[in-house]
Amino acid sequence: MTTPLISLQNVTRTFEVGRQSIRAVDDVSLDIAPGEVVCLVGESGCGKTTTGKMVAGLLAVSQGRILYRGQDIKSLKGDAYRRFRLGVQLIHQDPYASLNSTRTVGQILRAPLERHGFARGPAARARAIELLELVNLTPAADLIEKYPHQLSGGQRQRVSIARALTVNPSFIIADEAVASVDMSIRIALLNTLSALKDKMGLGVLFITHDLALAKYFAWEGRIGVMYLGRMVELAPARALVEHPRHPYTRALLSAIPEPELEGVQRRERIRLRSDEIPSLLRMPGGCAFHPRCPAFEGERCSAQSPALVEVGGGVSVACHPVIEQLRQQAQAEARS
Amino acid sequence: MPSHPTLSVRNLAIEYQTRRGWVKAAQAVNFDLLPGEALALIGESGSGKTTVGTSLIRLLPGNATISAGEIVYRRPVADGSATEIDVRALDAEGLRRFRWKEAAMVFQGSMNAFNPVLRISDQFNDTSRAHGGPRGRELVERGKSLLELVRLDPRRVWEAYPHELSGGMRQRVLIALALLLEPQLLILDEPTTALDVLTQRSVIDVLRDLRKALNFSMIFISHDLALAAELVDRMATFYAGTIVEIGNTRTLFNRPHHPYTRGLLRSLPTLDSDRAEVASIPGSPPDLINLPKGCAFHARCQAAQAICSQDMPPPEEVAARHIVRCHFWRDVAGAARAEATR
Ligand SMILES: Nc1ncnc2c1ncn2[C@@H]1O[C@H](COP(=O)(O)OP(=O)(O)OP(=O)(O)O)[C@@H](O)[C@H]1O
Ligand SMILES: Nc1ncnc2c1ncn2[C@@H]1O[C@H](COP(=O)(O)OP(=O)(O)OP(=O)(O)O)[C@@H](O)[C@H]1O
Ligand code: SF4
Ligand code: SF4
Ligand SMILES: [Mg+2]
Ligand SMILES: [Mg+2]
Repeated sequence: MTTPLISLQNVTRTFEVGRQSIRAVDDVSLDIAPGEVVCLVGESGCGKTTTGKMVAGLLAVSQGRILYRGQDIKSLKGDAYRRFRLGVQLIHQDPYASLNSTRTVGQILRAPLERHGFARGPAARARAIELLELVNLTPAADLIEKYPHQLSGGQRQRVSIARALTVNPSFIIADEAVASVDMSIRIALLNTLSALKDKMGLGVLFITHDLALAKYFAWEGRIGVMYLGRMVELAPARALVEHPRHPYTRALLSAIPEPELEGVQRRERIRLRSDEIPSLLRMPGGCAFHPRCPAFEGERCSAQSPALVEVGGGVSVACHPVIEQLRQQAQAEARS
Repeated sequence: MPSHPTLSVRNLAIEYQTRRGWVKAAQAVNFDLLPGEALALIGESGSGKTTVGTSLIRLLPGNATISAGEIVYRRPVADGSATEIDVRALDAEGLRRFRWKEAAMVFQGSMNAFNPVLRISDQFNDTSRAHGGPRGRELVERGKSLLELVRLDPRRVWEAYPHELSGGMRQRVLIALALLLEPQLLILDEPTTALDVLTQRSVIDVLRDLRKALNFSMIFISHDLALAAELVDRMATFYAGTIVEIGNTRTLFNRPHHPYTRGLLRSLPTLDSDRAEVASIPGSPPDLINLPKGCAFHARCQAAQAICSQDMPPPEEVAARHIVRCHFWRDVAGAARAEATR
């Protein structure tokens, strides 16, 4: 087996809030290969951004470790550290705060090109224009002179994407990186990233709220579903959308609005036992989803936290009854 | 006679001054918003949606000019008539009284514009004080109940600093804040962007319930078309600074008459769609400084003919309150119908 590009091993991150400590990310493990797309979905506050920031080296892990090409990112020094910082690029959730407002788009793109010796002078300008066109920002010669505050939300977001691409990264963490552009441009940007993935083996951790988009983008890749800091299901993208296993994944899918197209069957919405938002400050015992879970089974669910277990077909799931049922099925099949 | 529109926008044109020239961010924009009605502004990134939204409360940046048009806001009064406010003519004091109380806006990306050293409770206090809202205990109670309405835990959030909340939590705080002074017109610019589906769903449910209870009108700017469709009565598609199609949500979704609206809907993946069915619109957005002659979409439009690069299509009312700007809307609508019954 080839070494994964990125490997999270039992990664936990805690924050101190007042006198309490919350686990924003709790025991997450995940390998991502070169040229692979993994999408991360889950409720607001479930730890997606925190996970992304740790992978980018912007936030330390509290427990566990993160490997880049087989090496613990904490131990990287000198050239190896520099290769990691250039190789792994984070596109921020927020296109507003992440661009320097005193510099033009041209300056924003040329700075990393020149600083890291990718291109200089006119060549840097030409490369900047090329990158702007790659992300559909036209006329590029016009945009290059603008300041971030003179751009629309979606234009800014595309500048962030172009900037991440200046240093030819091998891994991109895209945190809701296409959420501010229209659907047509969203698809065009994802196609651009897909082409880079196929051509240059770019790996992508794509954080999104849109499961339909996740399925489109991760077609050959995987989707991971997080709930209150834990990974509750990880599966090949199409399998996850078409045959969700975890009760939370099912609920998420059933809540997705679908255009009222005539002739399209509407999905039935799964009601949760409670709509109350979960809080990391008062973490429910046992399975963290149990106060809301429509498949709640009593004692077992409220007392024991289910581990993420591989159940075959590349699918992993953390839910007591689902795991048990799939195990019994597998045994029955093996017997017959 | 139906009630007076809460808002009437007529021939609105807005330009930004830049080094290279004037950016025509909005032109010939027309629409009415009835009391209690919700309208979504959808369309291309950079096509002027935020510009138009912001102009409604006169908060455009310094290099912008409203070069033409009218913005009329109407507050209903007891006898069934309405007090008209000419928004373009408001002076500083008039604007102070107009914003938040009559019309409030949640800005795109503003979840990151919180002052980092102020607690959420301080943000509520400041806004309320500046615009003559509740004070003291009344404010605390109202603030906390609004937080509950947007499904936040006031015990955790009221005294929190912005950086302690996730993006989605801050976004909901802003919606709660915008409702503090009970405005008649709520403008939401990408309020659900980057929120997860359950939170989006609860924001939508909250907005729908609030709208029913308080009967305010709403402008909802969004790229999440399916979500917008669940909430709004009408939709307006923007392209290159103008509304190319406006109509009822169901009509727009099922019988789009403008090629750009159609293209946009074709690029919308659903849970069931196969990868090959989804396609983006080829080509690039036009230059708003040197707008192309004729229909701004012609270089990218599959239905384009010679006249399209010559004459700007006029708005045509193709059905009641369904207006389209396309020379060949009849053909496009026919094709859409054929596809739908395929
Ligand atoms: N610096 C911090 N101090 C305290 N708590 C924090 C900090 N950063 C994040 N958190 C908490 O950690 C949890 C996870 O936050 P994170 O930003 O990773 O969520 P997310 O999944 O990206 O959410 P969203 O979809 O809303 O962006 C949240 O409850 C958040 O309040
Ligand atoms: N302050 C400014 N100075 C110059 N040009 C500007 C300024 N603000 C916006 N623009 C330009 O005006 C056009 C319309 O911008 P606007 O923000 O209204 O778009 P939008 O439809 O809201 O896009 P998005 O969906 O990406 O948010 C864009 O082309 C943008 O570059
Ligand atoms: S373990 Fe129990 S509570 Fe948790 S998801 Fe499974 S059924 Fe629901
Ligand atoms: S007017 Fe012509 S170019 Fe414009 S949308 Fe209609 S057919 Fe296409
Ligand atoms: Mg986040
Ligand atoms: Mg905008």
